[in-house]
Amino acid sequence: MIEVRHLSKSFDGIPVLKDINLHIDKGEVVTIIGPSGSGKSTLLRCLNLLEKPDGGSIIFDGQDILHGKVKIEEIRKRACMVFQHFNLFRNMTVLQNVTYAPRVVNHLSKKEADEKAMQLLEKVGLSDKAQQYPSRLSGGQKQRVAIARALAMNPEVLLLDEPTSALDPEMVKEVLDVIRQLAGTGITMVLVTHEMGFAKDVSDVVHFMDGGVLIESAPPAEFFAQPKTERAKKFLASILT
Amino acid sequence: MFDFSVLEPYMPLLAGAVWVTLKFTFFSTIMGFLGGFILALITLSKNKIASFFAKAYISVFRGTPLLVQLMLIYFATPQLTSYTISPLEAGVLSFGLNSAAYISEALRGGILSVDRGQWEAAMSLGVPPYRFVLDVILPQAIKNALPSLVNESIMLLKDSSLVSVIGVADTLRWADLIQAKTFRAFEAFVVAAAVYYVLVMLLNLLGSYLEKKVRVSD
Repeated sequence: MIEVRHLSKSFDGIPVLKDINLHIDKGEVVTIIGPSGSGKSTLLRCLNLLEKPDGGSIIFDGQDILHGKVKIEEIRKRACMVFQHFNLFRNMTVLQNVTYAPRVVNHLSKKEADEKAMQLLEKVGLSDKAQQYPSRLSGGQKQRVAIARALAMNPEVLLLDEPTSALDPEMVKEVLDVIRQLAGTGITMVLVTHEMGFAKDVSDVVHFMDGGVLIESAPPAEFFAQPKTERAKKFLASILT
Repeated sequence: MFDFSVLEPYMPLLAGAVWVTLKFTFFSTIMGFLGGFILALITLSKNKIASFFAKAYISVFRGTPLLVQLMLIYFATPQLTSYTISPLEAGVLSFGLNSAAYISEALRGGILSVDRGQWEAAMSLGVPPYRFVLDVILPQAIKNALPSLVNESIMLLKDSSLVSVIGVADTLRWADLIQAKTFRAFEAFVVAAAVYYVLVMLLNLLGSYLEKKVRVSD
């Protein structure tokens, strides 16, 4: 589904991604973990071209999206992003947030888009908030709306950039529950997170990054029980104590 | 001492004069907003050359008196192009071009204060920029800039009195005419001032109404 080869990226001459190679299968739930500043969010943002990599290639469904003529919008609507700070459209109601892109990008009629959106809001437990503005919602509710908004595009891949990091502790669970539900539905998910327990639970593969380098990739049971590299051991020791 | 009854024969003319004032203000505001929006987008764009010209434009129109711009456009256009520009055209053109410079700065500030995350969210859903700028960014930018935008249209309304110097029969010209005929300057100009004040207050009301409307999402 997604093949990342020799990907590199720097900001103002400072390298944040160094020769990243990884492979994501269709339907796989992948988590990227690592210390702050390790480049995991940047890597995720490269996958739907919110950041433009400096070198290497990303093959999305057989198509090289960094070279040749690729319409950037075509990639993005197939790989939608859920952000740490939700980024719901503030001038739109919850329902409008969810229906906006399907109507504008996929040309759904208002009726079709509304029906689909209500189904999704139902799924994330927020159909009663459809007519509210985001400012009236709690952080956890906002993030669930943001997930519904991304799902409304029927993306093949869902990218989640630290979806619970900006939430109050008591709201983390409601968002994780929604993501957990999705993990069983066959959608490909790439999740950057600090929730180790959750990563262990839901993911098929864990990628550990540090200093812009992809250090280790392994199934979660293996990675958390017996990390192969020194750095991964150190990282796990530091967060588990 | 005061004798407002001298104005009586001229009152029917006042309605027409106020209408002219409103017409100038309305068209210049429209032109100012359209021009200001385009200029704001250009100054924020990554195209350095276009951005330079937009900034130069803003600098010139903010750095020279509106009255000079008006006279330049009204009197120099026929000389340069042999097109006889009407006072309405000259007025709307100079006020529109001038206020576009101010409005673009207000809108630019409004656009810059829209959270970066709003752009990213729209982009990440595959929405093309021309669409989400109109649907997501601009509504929030206008909301942020609303007080300055209302202020700008109030300025335009008052500045429209400048068109009286190129012979347009607006509210100020109406008063000027009366004082020339009756030598009653106080009565004439005080009524003109009152008319402007009432119109400005109406604009203020419209402003607070809009303010309330855009705040529903707060």
